[in-house]
Amino acid sequence: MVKSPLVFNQGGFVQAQVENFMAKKGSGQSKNTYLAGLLAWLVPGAGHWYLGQRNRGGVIFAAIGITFLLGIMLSGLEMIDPQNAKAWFCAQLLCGTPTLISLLIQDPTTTINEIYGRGVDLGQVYAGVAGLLNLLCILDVLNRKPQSLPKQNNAVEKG
Amino acid sequence: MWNSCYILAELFSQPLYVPTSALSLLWALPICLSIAVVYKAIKMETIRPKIFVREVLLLFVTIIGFLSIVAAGLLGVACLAGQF
Repeated sequence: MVKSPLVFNQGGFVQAQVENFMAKKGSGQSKNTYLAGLLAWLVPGAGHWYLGQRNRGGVIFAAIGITFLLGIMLSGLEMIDPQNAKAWFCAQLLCGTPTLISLLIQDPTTTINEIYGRGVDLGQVYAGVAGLLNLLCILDVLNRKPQSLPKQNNAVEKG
Repeated sequence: MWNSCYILAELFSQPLYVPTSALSLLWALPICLSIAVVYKAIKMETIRPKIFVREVLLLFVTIIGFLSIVAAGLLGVACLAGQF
């Protein structure tokens, strides 16, 4: 049950405020949400990691990373094609750094039309879905502020 | 060592051959699992391994179940369309 800090004696009130501040600091409330969103776009899961939710960040990183890698395994790096597969490219770009690295190291002479097949089709779906899942994570990071409140309440109760 | 690096690089540079058979539909399973994992990772308040795995499996089975129902429905429609 949450108690108001006003009912405590003065020493307890100050202690509660200090613990409140420490709880905020530790739980990511004082951290920049927009920076977290940018990190979440650059590296899947990094936004949650930055906000102090290491487990969640790790799970997201593993799930989106494996999905993206499976997509590249299925179709090769050339499926990331901003010229001939614009819609898929937009979805894949939401994955951030992995897409940009793939774009940089792919063979520019090979177009998607030359390698097209069932594997490429599936690979594009995988990489695209990985990007869209990352968009979900970015939006979650941007709205994750109130999640740290229970920790703060505990700190008040202790005081 | 260079050999293994080459094999690893080859894995990501050449498209994998996927035949156009009914078995290729099994490629839907990993992506459904990934969707279930990310969705539950976002939705759950705290991630405890046991509960998390249970929730993910439940969502995964639900997705596959509904996909199967939709597939059966579409197959039914296709069969009906083929008769007329």
